[in-house]
Amino acid sequence: MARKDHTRPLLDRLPRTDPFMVPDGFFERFPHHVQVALPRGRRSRAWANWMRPVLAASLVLVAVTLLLLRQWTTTPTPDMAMVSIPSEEVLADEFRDELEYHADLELSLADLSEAELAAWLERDPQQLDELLNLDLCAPC
Amino acid sequence: MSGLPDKELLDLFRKEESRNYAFNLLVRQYQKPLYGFIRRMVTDHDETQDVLQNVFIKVWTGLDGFRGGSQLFTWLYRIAHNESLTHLRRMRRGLFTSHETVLERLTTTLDRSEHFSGDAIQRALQLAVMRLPPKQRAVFTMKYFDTLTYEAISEITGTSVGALKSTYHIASGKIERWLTAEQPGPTDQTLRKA
Repeated sequence: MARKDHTRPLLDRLPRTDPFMVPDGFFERFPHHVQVALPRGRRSRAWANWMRPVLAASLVLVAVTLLLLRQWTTTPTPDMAMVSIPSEEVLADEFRDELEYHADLELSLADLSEAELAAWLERDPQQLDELLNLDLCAPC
Repeated sequence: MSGLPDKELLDLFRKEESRNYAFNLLVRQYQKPLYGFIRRMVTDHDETQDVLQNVFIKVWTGLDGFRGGSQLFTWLYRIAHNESLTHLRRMRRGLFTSHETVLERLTTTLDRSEHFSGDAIQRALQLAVMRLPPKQRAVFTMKYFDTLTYEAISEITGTSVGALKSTYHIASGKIERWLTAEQPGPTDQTLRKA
């Protein structure tokens, strides 16, 4: 038996008493101590439960607003885009548009008869200026 | 565990009119074992009181969410375990230092404590336990002093039973080595008397 004891792990042979002492009356006082320290009321928790989704929604809203605001301030507006493009390019673009417009007008008027052309001018006299700039009008 | 069964305690807690009463019962029912565990982890009585108070405040705010998936005692123990580790981590951070310096402080606390009644071997055992890293100390304390099953410790710590067995084996091996190496004379004598 003594031999068996000797081979047992040391820890198993130690008495497992609790050497830590607690001040007198500690366990009688402690529950009151905890009660005093508690965050008060179920209502506050109910409020917290109700507020949680509202707060979450508000945060999402603020985040989305900030994102949109950021997007808006960083995306160049058409005017800003114009400012950032060199003036030669802007002129070239305008000139190209003008040419395309005139080409379209020329093509569409070339198919008209004289009577149709007169009717068109009568309906929209301002187009005469346009017409004067086209080769189509050269015989006039 | 004597006192009201967990289910009755929880039912009382969920009613507004008996909430405080139920919580008071819960504190009285579980304060001693939780105090014992925390005290072995942090050593000092005042710090134990602070940690234990934080544990019960967390219980108060979280008990509504306790769905009974585990035993109430296991759930409480888990909070006590986490709070103790957090306290030790904070202590280490507060001292801006290593595990050894924290150990030094805990040893001083133990030596100065008027609330330590152990003999030489108890003191040596407690010092050896304090030398373990916090997580090993927790596992060793739960298994050796509180005699919890590996399954319960697994639920408390969120560690697998296999890993816990290894941890306990390593921790108890270290403690035995430290006890026999540092205090061979008194240990043997005390053991013979015991």
